[in-house]
Amino acid sequence: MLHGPPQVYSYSQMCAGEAHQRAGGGTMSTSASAVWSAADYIQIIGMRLDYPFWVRSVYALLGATVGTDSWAVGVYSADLSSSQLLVASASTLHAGSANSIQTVAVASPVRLPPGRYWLAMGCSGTTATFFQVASTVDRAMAGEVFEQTAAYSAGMPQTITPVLLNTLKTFVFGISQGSVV
Amino acid sequence: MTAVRLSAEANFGRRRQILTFWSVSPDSGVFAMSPTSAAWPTADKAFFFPIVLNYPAVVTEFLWVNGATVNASYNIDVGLWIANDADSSTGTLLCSTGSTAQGTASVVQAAAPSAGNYTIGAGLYWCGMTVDTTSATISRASTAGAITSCQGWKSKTSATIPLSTSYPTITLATNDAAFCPHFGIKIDNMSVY
Repeated sequence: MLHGPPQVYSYSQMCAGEAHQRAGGGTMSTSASAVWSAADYIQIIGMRLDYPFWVRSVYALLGATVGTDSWAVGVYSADLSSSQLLVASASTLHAGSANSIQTVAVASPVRLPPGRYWLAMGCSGTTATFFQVASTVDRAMAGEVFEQTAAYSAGMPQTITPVLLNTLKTFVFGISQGSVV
Repeated sequence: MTAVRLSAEANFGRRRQILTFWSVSPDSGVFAMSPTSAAWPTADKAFFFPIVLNYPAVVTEFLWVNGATVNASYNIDVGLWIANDADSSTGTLLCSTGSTAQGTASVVQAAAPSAGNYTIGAGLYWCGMTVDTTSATISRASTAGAITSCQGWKSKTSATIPLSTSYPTITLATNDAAFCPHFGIKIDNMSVY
């Protein structure tokens, strides 16, 4: 039997959302389209899973401009020094309708036990847009929003080294236990 | 540390008896709700939200908030599906109200499962609601469908009443409507602190 929520995403309670909001951030209703922070930039957010979670697909909320760049979402072990990739989608062209969800199936679903992880997303360029909640360094610190520049290389790297966020966007992306988000 | 734990328990651990998206969803805290009366967007369209239950319980009633315009000729059906192990966006119907005439305007309306109380265990469920006419109004939040889908909301067309016939099993779809009706289930808890 499945337990836990069907989806966990960057702005949910199990990631940045609640703490980010307590630090003055807006609700998801304030999210808006914006360009990706930089080419090959990766955003990394602390994630707590209270239940076993089957990662079967990943998703991102596309913004107003669709196409050109490719993106991927992955989950890493939560080690500050060198976190290891546990599961990720393949690098996929930003495609679909504007302001809609793009879902990508994971080739080999992985069951994550309860614990702490990094939820991360990378994108190859800055033409494509994604939904994000406007942030500040204070909100990012409260919500455990980290980043790594120049780390995406046609897919998520095998290891990441999170650095505290200085880019003022918390993008909307996540993982799902199902095929439909 | 204590404050954080208490905050988490507000959604996860507290033994609530009325389970709606805004009372139990782990994501409802970052989703502003300003419910107002609005017409059901499409006849026979159903909307779903996930329920994560940490303990066994008995479903005794389904509830929803009627809008300003109601009529006894408008029909509503609310049901509960268990998410399938292989894919959380699919499910199997456990119980539902069956066709229920809409009652009084601007009040909470309740209806029991058609086959009586239904016992469920801990797990992941989908609660869904359909209405057979766009003339009926229901209290709802109007955040964009793509945003609500990130937070677990789903929808399904052709959800004709009764749900026990149209969707005894279901594969949910991304919510494409800015419409999150205020509905849920009432349970009697079977566990004690």
